[in-house]
Amino acid sequence: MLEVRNLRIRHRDSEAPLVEDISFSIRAGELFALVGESGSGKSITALAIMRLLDGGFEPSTGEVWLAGHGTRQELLGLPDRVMQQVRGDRVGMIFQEPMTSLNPVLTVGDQIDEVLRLHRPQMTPAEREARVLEVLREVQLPNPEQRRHDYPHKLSGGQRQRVMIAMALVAEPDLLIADEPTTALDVTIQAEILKLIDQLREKNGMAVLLITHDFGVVASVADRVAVMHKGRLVEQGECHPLLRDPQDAYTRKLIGALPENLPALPSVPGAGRETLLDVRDLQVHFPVLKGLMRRQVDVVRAVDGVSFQLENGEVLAVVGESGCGKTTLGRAILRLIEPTGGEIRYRDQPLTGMPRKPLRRLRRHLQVVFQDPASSLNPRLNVMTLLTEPMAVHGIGEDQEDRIERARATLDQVALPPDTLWRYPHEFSGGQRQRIGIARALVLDPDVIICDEVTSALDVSVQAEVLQILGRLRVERRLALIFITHDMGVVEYFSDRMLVMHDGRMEEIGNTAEVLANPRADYTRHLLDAVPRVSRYVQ
Amino acid sequence: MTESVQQVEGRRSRSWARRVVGEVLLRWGARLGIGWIALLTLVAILAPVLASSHPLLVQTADGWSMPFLRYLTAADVTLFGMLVLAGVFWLLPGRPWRRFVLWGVLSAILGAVAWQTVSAPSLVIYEQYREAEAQGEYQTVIRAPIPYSPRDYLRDYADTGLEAPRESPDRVHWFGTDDNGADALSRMIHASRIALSIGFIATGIALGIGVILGGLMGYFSGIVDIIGMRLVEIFEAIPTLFLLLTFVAFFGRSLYLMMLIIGLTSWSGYARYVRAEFLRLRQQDFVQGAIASGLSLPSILFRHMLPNGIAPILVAASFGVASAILAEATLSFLGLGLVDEPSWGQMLNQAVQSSTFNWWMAAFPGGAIFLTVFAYNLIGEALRDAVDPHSRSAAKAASHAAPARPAASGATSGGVR
Repeated sequence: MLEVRNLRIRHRDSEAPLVEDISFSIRAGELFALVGESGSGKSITALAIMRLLDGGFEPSTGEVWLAGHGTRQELLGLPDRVMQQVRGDRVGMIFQEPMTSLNPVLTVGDQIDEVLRLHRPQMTPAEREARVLEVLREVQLPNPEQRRHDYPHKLSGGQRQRVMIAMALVAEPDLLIADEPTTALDVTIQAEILKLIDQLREKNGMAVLLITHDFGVVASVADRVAVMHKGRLVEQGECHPLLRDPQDAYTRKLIGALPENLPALPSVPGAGRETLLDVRDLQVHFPVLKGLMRRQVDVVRAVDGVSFQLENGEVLAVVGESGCGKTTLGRAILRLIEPTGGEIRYRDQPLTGMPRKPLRRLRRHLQVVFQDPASSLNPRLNVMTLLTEPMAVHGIGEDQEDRIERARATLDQVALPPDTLWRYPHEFSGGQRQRIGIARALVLDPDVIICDEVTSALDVSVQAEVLQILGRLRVERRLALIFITHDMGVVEYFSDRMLVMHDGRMEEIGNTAEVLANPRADYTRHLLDAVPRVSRYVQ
Repeated sequence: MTESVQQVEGRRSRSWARRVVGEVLLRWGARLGIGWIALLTLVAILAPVLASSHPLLVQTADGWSMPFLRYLTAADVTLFGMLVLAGVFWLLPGRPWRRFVLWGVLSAILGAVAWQTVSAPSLVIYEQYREAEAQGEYQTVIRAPIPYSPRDYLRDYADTGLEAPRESPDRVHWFGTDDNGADALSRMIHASRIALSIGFIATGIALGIGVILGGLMGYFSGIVDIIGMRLVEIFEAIPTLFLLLTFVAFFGRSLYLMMLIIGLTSWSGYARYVRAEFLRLRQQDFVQGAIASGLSLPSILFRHMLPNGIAPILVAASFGVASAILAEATLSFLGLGLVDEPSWGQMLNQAVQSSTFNWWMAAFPGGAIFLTVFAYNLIGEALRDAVDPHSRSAAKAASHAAPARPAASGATSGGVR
């Protein structure tokens, strides 16, 4: 169906090619997965096949043959007019971000209709309308007769991704290129979308090129897999045999870095002797104001009645899908957001209602590491200032030299070289920045660190490094961690206890192993079922 | 310890401010603009030495003397002092920021002392030097490059009035003379002080008010924001030019009043920018992290938020300087500026008022206004490009484009479509 031969892509600004000599072929009706970490060149490969790379790139070399309908075309050499016909008609594409890939000023029905008008000019308006409805039904959008008149902002992320798939499928292409189609979605919705793509593939007999970084996703749907690393294909083959017994060293390393395959963490001596945090019936309600007088008409219950205790040396995972209130919970504990009800005690001192001054002194014991390493460090200050300023405020260290020495020691603990001190955040990779973020939390010698999705922006091998560093620090410093995440693999690997949240409410709390093996709440069971795991598919 | 600090100091990377300055200097437009402003600043500071009827150095029977020194005003002395101090502090070692603050403090002290002690004689007889020279009293005389003061109307020559550039061979006026017979170039040199100072000081006042109010509005939001925004709207509704006209009518003509009014009415734009930036930054994780580390409010506002939000404000400020210069020129052109101090706008006004059209009276001051406003706009433009990451890569690609490939292809590069 699709055959790529010696494809080579080079950006005009870079010396080395971004994609070098990759060759693979996709058979009709097959789901072919292209896996790799960020920057491995997998998305660029897809864009090059569609000829969507802009003028910054040199023309790709190699051959891309697309077969079907009794013809065989070489895409890279086609004139632009013909290529435009190929896009959408023969090859459909869906992107990662459903929030921005739909035009906000057109209804979803119109956007799907436009594709048909372009590629099926012979169809009458009535036929097109029927086809739009049919395809919306195919992607299982609820209530398609009304939904097609909606604008994109009225749809949820999962529904938008369904509309995107409908747009890609409406002209019945032979090949669907899906570039990280589920990365921005919650795990339960991801499971539905993957199932949908799989069903449609079987029904229409089309081939799918799935681009992803997630081995769980690969294991659950792919027939064949190719692994990319730094612009090269390091390995390709049948999915399950490859995952079970990877031949290439890099593939082995990637699969070994999955949380389920990481070596077990050491236990913390002296853990659980002391209750550090005691949260009782915590509530964070945001008022919904309406009208000229800003009358309060309703409240959004972002966090509604959450209670737990945190002991020293313990890792408590807070799990839930986006919008469940887990981040709000973390920030409310730190009083970055004011809780509206309930009580938080830190070592018998009530944090709720504490005046600003004493609270500022107490903040050194409760630290936070954020999700996005790009925005969590002040880009205008160098690392030395970032690390020593909080120490100076809290009177740690005798003088600046002493503080720099401490900062250096802390950087060493997160496995960063000492010259990191004089550099600025933008010079580091995501994983390094995340480690600087951890170092910033550590310099104050806290008891509790709240980790808000610290690994979800990182590649799996980098995630493994960060988790190991956190695990080691936890033993060395007897830290208690509140680990906010949506990734069940990380939860299972890293946490002692877990708290499941849904719509601001606490669904379940208990020992991680027990909850995973024997979930009590229906929601937890639903959530766990949706998680794609390599181990579930590959023995 | 210190040794190891110094050792790694060599690997220190460039701060954001330095990178932006480097980016700005990559652009030829900005280099031209900065060059022109620097030249103008130097000329403005050295005006009494560059254009003066008082000889710089004379030798008479009584010995050597420097007549121009006696006629220096407090402002002249302060500016000279600041220039010398700037040179000294430029060469001194130490942190740039600290040296700058020290320079500012010393300059302020110098200014205060000068204002108390220095007073130039109010009666000036320019003709005395020419008479003395004609009578052969001077053995040696060193004159300023332009040997005419801005208010030296050359009464001793009797032929008062207009003279085109380089009309008479024995008294060279490079840019001609005005209606009263004063040297136009000398007047322009002295007028550059007004143009520069009104731009800097009016914009400085506006920036100060705008950054503080905007910052508070953005950080605290809520009720502070609501009140602040109403204040901004009130000030935006005031027409600056008409307010200036009214104040000139009531309180007379004063440069300082003009600076104050332009400053007080133009801060609202900066406040809006700062507010918007702070509202955005407030949600950023690193600000939340700073709060979570227990840092104090001034540190969060001015160390962590302001440097991240300053870029659009600086861009707006460089355009603001240009518009302040234009406002003063407009007022002077309308005949409502200063009476006896020369200013570019007032010279343009003279050109229009005189009965015949004298091109040199319009072209030179008009050209100076144009060039200065243009220079500030070029700098603003370059700053805006430098702080905008999208256009940054484009300039880089264009600047070191290999000869084999055209610069245009680099300029269009970017991510994927």
